[in-house]
Amino acid sequence: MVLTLHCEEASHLMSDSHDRPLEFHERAALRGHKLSCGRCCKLERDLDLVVAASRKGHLRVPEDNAPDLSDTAKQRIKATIRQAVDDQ
Amino acid sequence: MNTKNGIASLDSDVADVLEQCVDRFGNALFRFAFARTGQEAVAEELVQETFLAAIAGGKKFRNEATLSTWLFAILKNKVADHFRVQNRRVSEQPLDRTPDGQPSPSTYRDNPEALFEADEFWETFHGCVDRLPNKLAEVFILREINQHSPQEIRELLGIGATNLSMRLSRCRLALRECLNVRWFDQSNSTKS
Repeated sequence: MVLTLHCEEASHLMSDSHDRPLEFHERAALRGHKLSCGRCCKLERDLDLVVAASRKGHLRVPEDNAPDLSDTAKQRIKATIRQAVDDQ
Repeated sequence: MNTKNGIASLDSDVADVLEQCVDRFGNALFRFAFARTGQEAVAEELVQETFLAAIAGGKKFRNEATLSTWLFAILKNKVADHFRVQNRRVSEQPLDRTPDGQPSPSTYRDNPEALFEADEFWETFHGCVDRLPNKLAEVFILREINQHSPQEIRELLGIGATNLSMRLSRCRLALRECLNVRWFDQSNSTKS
C-alpha cells in the first residue's frame, strides 16, 4: 500500500485522522507517501489548519459572551406559544 | 405540570408549561443559537421555532430534565436547517477567484494562532463555510458546529463510514481551496 497510495487517497486519510485514529498500516502508508510528495506535506498542514479553524471557529460568538434573550422577545415568544396552542 | 409516571400531558396547560420553559431555558437556548448564527434576530426566530415545533411535534413531555434536552435537540435541528438554507442561497453566488482563476500557493502557515486572532480571517472563513455545497455543508454543520461524533452523524444521515469520510474530506478540501483564494492570496497580494 505504501507504494500505491495516491495523493487523493492520502488526502482522505489526512482528513480521516481528524475523526478517528488511523490504523497502523494507514499511518505507515501516509508516512511513506509524504516522503516522496511535497504537495501532500503542504496539504496536510493546510488541512490541519482548516480543521483547527473549523473547531475553533464554529462559534461566531463565544457562547459565554452571547447576550440573554430580551424580555421583549420572551413576551413575544410566549404570545406566539399561546396563540399556537389555542389554534390547535 | 400534570405528571403521571414522570410524563406530563400536553393538554390545556401546555401553554403554561412552555411559557415557563421560555423563562427557564430561553436564555440558554438563545445563547446557543446566537453563538452559532451571530445574529440576534435569527437566534430569536430559531428559539421561537423551537417552541412551535415542540407544540406541533410533542404529544408528551417527559420530566423537566428531559424537557430541556428535548428543546435543545429541536433547536440543534433548527440551527442546522438555518445553515442548510443559508448555504443553498450563498453557494449559488460565484466564488471570487484570483485573476488567473487558480488558487495559488500561500505563505501563511507558520503561525495559525496569530491568524486566528484576526477578525478578518474569521469573516472570510465563515464566508467560505457559507459557500459549501449542501451535502458538504450538512456534514460540516453536524461535525463541527453541532459537534456530533462520526458515529452519530452516520446514524443521523443513514450513510456509511466511507461516504461520511469522503464528504468530510471533500468539505475540508473545499474550505482549503476557498481560503487559498479568498484569504491567503488576498493577504499575499496586500503584502506585496
